[in-house]
Amino acid sequence: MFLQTNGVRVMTSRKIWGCIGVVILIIVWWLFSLLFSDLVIASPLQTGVGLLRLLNENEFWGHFGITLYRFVVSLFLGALMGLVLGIWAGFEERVKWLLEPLNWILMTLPPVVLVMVSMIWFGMGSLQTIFVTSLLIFPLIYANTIAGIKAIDEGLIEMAQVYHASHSQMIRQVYLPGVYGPLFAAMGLSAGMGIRIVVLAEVLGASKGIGHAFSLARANIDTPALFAWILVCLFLGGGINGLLFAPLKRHLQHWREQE
Amino acid sequence: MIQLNHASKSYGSKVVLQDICLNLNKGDVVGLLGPSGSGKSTILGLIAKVIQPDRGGCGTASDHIGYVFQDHRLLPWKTALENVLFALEATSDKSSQSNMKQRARKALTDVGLEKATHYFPKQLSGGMCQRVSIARAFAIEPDILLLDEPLSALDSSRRSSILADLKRMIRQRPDMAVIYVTHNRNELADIVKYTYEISGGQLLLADKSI
Repeated sequence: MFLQTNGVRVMTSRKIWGCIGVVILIIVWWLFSLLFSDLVIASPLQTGVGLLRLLNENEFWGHFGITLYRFVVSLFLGALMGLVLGIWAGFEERVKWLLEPLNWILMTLPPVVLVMVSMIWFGMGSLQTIFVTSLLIFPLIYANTIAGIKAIDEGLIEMAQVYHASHSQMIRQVYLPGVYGPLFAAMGLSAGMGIRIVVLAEVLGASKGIGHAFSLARANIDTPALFAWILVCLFLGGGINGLLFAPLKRHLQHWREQE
Repeated sequence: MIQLNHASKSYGSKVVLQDICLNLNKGDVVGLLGPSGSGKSTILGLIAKVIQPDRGGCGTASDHIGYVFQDHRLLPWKTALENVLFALEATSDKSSQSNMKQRARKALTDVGLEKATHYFPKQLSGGMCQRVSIARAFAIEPDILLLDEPLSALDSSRRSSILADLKRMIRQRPDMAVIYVTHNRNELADIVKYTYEISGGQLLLADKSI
């Protein structure tokens, strides 16, 4: 008897409700744009026209490319640090206790403060942006990796020990697959958080990138461009999540969908 | 093959095993009876070296130990075939991947799961999962087989067919030392040489079948 359930139906229903949510948001946005001046809120149509205008400008791809580069490198570095130290701390309580103060500081520190300090240390540009973003992504991945390690069924670990599984086999085949769930949940959150911090760091301390373009649009009171850049940020965060993390998660966790 | 030498084990103030001695040779098949929490699984843990005795010693002549747990303990992210391969990769001496796959498939065929090799535990019934767990234990060609209440989590309709397969597979490996832990004395019929009972931390010979 092979068990089958309705996983596909749930996914379809989820997508439909998600689309309805997007439509409601656009309608609410459009209604607010009717209530306020064009300088305060650009309508969805004006934003669309603003986006097309941006796409035709040569500078757009320069700003977009540099932000994408900073965003991807920061995510990679933050995730790598969080994963490696999270696995280590998951096994060794002393490492967890040792890293607790740093983790607490990074969770508590306002991002803008870290941006200011890193501007003094690294000046303006990619280095400070990547430094701040990866450092602020780290605690999210770190905490979720530890939670994943702790949540692995002890019975499975005992089974692996009975069969004399090597350390490498334990990490590759027991611990890593066990942490994929919480890890990818954290990666999804990191994608959203990462784009927010990269743009913030660029607004304050970069002469190129989406954040810098935001500053220019605000200075020029170009509200449609400002709103168009917001859409670009959403596409960037959502794109990384939808085109990279979600397929990767589906691939690594396909056993969960075999219900 | 297995030697427990005056082994004792306590958890906090609770003495679970006290001065236990047990000597099993090649081909010995013994039953171990006792109520829940009496220390039956602790004895198996000592033999499998996942539990250390507080006093005394425990030695085995081989590290090739097959273990069937009460719950199947299959890795949920691996298919039936991959679960069996996991144990083979961990215990096998430098066998090639294709050789290991062949052995894993044969073990699954022996338990009647030749058509379920690519299914994940979630897609299998409890009885099928336990069959995969049995296949995993036999695939490594163990010198010692530890069965920790292998049927207790299953409904009665599945028990008899799995028990029959289990007995057949044990008989096919006459050199293997087996300890079968159970609540149910009937499961031990026709197969065990001795039956031990554990009570108050002591191991007592309850029955000699042959």
